Amino acid sequence: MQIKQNVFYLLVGIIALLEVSIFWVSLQLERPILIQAAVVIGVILIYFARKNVEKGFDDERTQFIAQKAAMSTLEVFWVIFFVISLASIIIGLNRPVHFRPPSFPGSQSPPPDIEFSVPLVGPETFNHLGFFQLSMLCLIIFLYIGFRIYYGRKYGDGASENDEE
Amino acid sequence: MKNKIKVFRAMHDMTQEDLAVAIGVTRQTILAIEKGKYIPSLDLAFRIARYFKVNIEEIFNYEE
Repeated sequence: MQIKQNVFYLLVGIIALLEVSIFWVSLQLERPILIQAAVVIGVILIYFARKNVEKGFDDERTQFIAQKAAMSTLEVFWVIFFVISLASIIIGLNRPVHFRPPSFPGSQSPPPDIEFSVPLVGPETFNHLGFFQLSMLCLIIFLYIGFRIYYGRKYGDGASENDEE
Repeated sequence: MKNKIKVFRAMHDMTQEDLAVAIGVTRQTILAIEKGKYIPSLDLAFRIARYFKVNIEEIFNYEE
């Protein structure tokens, strides 16, 4: 069954709204598997819907633009991600790593006030990691949309109806 | 890369939309090719040439 382009976008909007609702339910029930399954199913639905969009939606030029945008997004994103990762490592290593100096017979024992009970990875870590990953995902989306607009204009998307002769 | 798609369209009294539908691309793609903003693949170039029943060199002209 062929669907129109507008119907496709409407379907994507409905799926996005459902995902937000399921995210809220998942949060209330404290069951992450709900939103995980919902996102996977949603992506599969969008994939199949996209395959059934009427001809004229996609051709070799739009695929070329998408490829160029994806490549540029990757080129910019890895640099940003690398820089942020390096900064995170430096911040992470700038705290006690719980190495104790060796004790020799007759030497003084290490000071007893070193805190060993602080967990390096806890629920807060996952919370922060989740928000960090989402922000990175948003960055990828913004970069991709930006490059898509840029290459779209470069390869002819900016032309108007007045160009028809 | 220069092309004469516009000329051939005029000779066949076709709009960009007509040609786009006939060879299975979007009107924007025909427009972009005509304006020289997008260089079509060999496959698409041959499809356009065959549609107008001419050799590919008669429509597309490569200039260094």
